Amino acid sequence: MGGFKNLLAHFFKRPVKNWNIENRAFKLLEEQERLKPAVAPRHPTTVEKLDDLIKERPELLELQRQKDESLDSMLKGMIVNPEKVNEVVTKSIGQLPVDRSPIIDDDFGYTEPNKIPQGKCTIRQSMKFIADYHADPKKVTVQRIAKEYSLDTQQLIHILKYFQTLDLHIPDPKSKLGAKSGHKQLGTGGETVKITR
Amino acid sequence: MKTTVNFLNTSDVGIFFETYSQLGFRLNSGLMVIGPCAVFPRSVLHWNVRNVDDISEESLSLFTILEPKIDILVIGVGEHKCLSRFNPKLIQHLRSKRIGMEILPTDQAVATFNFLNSEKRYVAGALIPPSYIPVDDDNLEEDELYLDNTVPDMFEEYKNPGSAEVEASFKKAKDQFFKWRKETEKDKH
Repeated sequence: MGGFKNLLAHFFKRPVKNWNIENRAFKLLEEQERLKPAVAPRHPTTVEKLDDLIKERPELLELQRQKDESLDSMLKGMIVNPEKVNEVVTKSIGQLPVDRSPIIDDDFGYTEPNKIPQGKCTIRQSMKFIADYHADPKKVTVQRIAKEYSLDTQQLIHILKYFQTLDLHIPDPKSKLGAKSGHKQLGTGGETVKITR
Repeated sequence: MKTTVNFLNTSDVGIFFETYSQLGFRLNSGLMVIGPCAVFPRSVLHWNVRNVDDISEESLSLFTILEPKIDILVIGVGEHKCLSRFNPKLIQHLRSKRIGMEILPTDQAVATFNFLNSEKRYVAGALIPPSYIPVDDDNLEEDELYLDNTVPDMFEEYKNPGSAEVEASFKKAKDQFFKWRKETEKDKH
């Protein structure tokens, strides 16, 4: 089948394809020439002036087509050397932090504030007054706590009603649960129980 | 004399819950907290509420007066169905105090607290043990150990474990309890 195709190409296709090829090529070239983008027309007011300039100083037209090497070398001598690039900030500007060392946790797992607003308390303080109150409610009265920590009395009554420090029950360490529970682990894992009373 | 502890965990990790049950929570230090508790990054308090209905502005008062203000409060209401009983006005109340909150069933609340605390967020938890936990072999064993060893210490009449009468009555009560629990499990499933 391939041989037959080649024969067809030899006797029919190629002569047909090449028929009048030269004329057709020239015609195509002319067409392309015609379609080339034309130079934009100059503004009527400048036409005369530009023509005069070209007539008087034709060397200017030539000059603008050539590369000016002297302009290139102008940048080569330039050195960029800003003075403030490696300046180290040692003083804090406003509230920005300067110390980058890792934060070491406090006892209660957060940084305790220096100033405590009225009517507020820290966990450390609340732990203390709750433990103190439940240890001896007659001696450490609500009014006394409220005055000492400048808290709202009504709110303090609610706090002391609903929150208490843990009561400690220790199961017999010989028993199954005692062996399983944490009393042997305490102290070995870095934990501490602070007994306040 | 009563002994109270101000529990602090000074290791790097802070407080984590290892397990929870109907009785309370076991912490990573091995201590078991019985009943509802208020947890902070490294300290625990008892929280004197019975169930989700007792959660109110008053019973959450401590969380709103803390300085610095806590980032987020994780409230564990008990089992899943208790969520609907949570008072929606409290959400507005805590929002007005600018405290973020997660109101969750206790099982999820425990996990959320552990996660937030491990990220060193300034988190507080208010958790009520669930009154119902589906039984499997693990927590059955835990409860049995607890009943055998800890509960007797708490009852005045069980101060003399030598007496055979008390032993027998306790064993009977224990058997009844497990029988009752297994039956209720069957009903629920």
